[in-house]
Amino acid sequence: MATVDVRILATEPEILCELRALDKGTKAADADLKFRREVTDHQLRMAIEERTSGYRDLILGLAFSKTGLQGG
Amino acid sequence: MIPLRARALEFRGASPASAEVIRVSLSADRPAIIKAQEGFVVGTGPVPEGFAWYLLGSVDDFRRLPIDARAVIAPAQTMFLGQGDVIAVDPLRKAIRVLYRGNSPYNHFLLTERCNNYCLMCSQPPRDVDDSWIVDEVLRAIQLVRRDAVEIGFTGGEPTLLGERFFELVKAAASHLPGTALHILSNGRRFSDGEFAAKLGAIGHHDLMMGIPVYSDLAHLHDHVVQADGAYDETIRGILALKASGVRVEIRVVLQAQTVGRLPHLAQFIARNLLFVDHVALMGLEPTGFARANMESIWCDPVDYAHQLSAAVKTLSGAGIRTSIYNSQLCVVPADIRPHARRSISDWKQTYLPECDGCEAKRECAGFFASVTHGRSRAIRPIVGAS
Amino acid sequence: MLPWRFTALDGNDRYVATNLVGEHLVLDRETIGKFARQELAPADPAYDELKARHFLIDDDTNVAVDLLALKVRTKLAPLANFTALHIFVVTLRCEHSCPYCQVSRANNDRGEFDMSRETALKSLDLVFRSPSPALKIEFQGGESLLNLPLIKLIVEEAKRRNETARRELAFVVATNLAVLDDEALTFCKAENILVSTSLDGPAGLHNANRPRPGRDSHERAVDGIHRARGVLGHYNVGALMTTTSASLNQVKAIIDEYLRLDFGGIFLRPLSPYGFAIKTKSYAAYSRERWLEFYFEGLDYIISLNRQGFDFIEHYAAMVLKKMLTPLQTSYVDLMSPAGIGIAAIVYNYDGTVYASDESRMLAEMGDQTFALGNVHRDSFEDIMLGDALLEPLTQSFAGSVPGCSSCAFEPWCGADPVFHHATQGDPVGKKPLSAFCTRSMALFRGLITRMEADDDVRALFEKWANRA
Repeated sequence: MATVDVRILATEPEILCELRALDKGTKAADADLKFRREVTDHQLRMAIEERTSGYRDLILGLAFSKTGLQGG
Repeated sequence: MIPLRARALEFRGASPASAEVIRVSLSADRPAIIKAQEGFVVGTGPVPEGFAWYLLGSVDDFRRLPIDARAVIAPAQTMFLGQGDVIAVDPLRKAIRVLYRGNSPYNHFLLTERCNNYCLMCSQPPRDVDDSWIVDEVLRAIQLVRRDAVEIGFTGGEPTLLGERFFELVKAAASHLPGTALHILSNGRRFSDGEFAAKLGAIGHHDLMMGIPVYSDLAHLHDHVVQADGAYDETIRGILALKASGVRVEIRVVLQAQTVGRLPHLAQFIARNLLFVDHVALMGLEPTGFARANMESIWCDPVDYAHQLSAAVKTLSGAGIRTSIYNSQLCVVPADIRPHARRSISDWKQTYLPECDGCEAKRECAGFFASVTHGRSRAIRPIVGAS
Repeated sequence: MLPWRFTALDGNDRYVATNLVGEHLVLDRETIGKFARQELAPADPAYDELKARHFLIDDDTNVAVDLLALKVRTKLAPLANFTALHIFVVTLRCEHSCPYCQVSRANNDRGEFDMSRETALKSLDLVFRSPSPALKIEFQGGESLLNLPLIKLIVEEAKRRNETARRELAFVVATNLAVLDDEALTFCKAENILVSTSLDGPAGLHNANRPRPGRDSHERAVDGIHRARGVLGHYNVGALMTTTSASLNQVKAIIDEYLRLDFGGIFLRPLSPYGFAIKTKSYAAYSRERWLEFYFEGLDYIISLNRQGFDFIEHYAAMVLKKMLTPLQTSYVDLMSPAGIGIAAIVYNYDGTVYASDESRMLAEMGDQTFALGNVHRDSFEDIMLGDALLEPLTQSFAGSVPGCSSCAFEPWCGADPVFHHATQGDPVGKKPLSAFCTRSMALFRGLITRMEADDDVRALFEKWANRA
């Protein structure tokens, strides 16, 4: 469940991210760390998607290539 | 052990060119026209006239034969031949080849010694020779095998290297033995050509199973065992193509040093990717051929891989896949998976050890390969009391 | 590199990585990063595991592409079978007055809340339009047995039509067993009908949840279970629990009750957000957290029971594990993507209205008709199954394409629940960080994986459950 609320203000040349913890227990430093980690993870995810989209299309294409899905 | 092949036999009355495949009879009471095509096994009784061949247990029997009889003296073979068995008599090579024995549940026809794999533990090391004459001999034998035969097999080498003649053989089996199961051992690589697989499926053999080895979930490990790059991909594609063409497939895994480490992983691989296979056979090592030469590097004592074997069998059977353990003695198979062990060594290859005396499970146990005395577990002991 | 996704597993730098068909590996953050940046050396132990599980191909092999395609087809193939579960609400009448139930009506015989013969026959027309080789017809209510004559008619008529249609037909009666008489039992026995009842837990809990005149709902339920088993066979009588806030601190007692009555397993169901629960705002964040505690306390208790030799299964975990550990699909409607509404299960209400799911019907009782697909008296099969009311939420909620889900490692195991998200957030997709469905599902996946990683016996138990589900 969401633990940190993020407001993003994209004003050139900066992108300002406002973090607000959704429960009182979360410290600001932890929310910061969590957010940065999530951003890095997401950059990786996008890189993976770009790198592998060709294979994804190929595999899905093969999967659907025969007529009559019912009965295999 | 019963020797199926014999050479340097003494032939009499036969020209070198007169090699043929014949059915064997122990009974003299055969119609004349049939006798003229069969071989008579000479026993203690009177020797009838009119047989094409006479098979002798001893040179002394020669004088009891009709004049001009064609004969071969083969004491080791004649002891085990039964009514309706099929043999090839080959005066040129001074040999007899026992091709089919009614008393044996395991009748495999070797179709060629050529192979495109070079497995570390191969029990029939490949030879790159032109042995196409074997196909003709087997075709002839299939016609003579009795119709109530339960199962026959094709093996090699790699049978699919015969191309069109491979299909000819399958068709012959389907045609002459419409009630007989056919079990073909192959590395499956040729079937990665979908059309080749489709042709096999199109024959519509009534009871066909392809036995195909897969040694690892990792391509490079499998390729190492079979000593051929790219074999794994072709084998897997071959299995997929066969199943798509309606041919039943059995996966065979030889239990040796290179395969037992990842056996549980291989079982999971099969359960996730090849759930539709009809059978998985986990096979104890047969210590002949290449296996004998490479023994040091491939042998693993069954008690040392019992844990992996147990995990693999549980994964496979848990996923609903029929699983059997072959060529493994019951005392070294973990008790909880013993129900999967089969008495699998051909009687002509099989024996027991002195250590087995008193064992109550002998009748269900596969026993040992008689050909060699090495490659035996240090933990052989009789099973007493447990069911 | 083949398509794959990763999501955090715990606070210890462990991640779950899944391939295109949901086969998973647990890896540390460093390995994830190396692999993602293509810096993972073949000598690294993780390399072989990634290769064997079809996360990557290299010069040795690329047959993973063929195998992944085959596995994708295997997972999706059951979609073509279409709707297998057909729920008939044969009456709204009921003699219980459970506070969380919003559908039932007082038990009078005026027939205004009973399904009519015409409605039943028209509904059967639609049932047999589904191409599914297996059709399960489930009778619900109110208290379905209060309209036994109509159940009999539907069973008879369905069997008659099946002589030509030749499907695998199965019937289930959902009943609280309080009105189970010999006539009903004899009929169920003769027609091989399974019985499914409600058992919330021990007497105190069950009776508090399910008031009826006489305050003896639990007693009647247990008596009914024994009687039904005696006639129909032990395992042809099933029980489901409804989880209310009163259940949340009694999970062991509830499981013990199922153990005592020899059910062989239990389905620890989530709290329902519909009807009474939403009206009284009892479906708060507190409840979600508490439910997860409730669930894992129950699961761990069941695991310990298995260690002691009891063959007792937790069905929710079993269905999730089937998706995680086998190449096969589950038939649990709530955990399907594309969603199971309409295309896996469908509801024919007493008045002929066709609903996309049971929850859709509950939503309608609260005044929201969004998931009413049509009416059997007015609309054709094509109108109902191809109308926007069904197709829009199906396509919009497909997890593989929505933000958040499309990059989540758990997506291959998860479902889309458009009705839930509509009810709680106002649209079929919802914002997943705010979704109780998402929170619960992710907690479940993480909880199951953590337990499997920590203990091989638990892994073996979970594999057994996955194969049986």
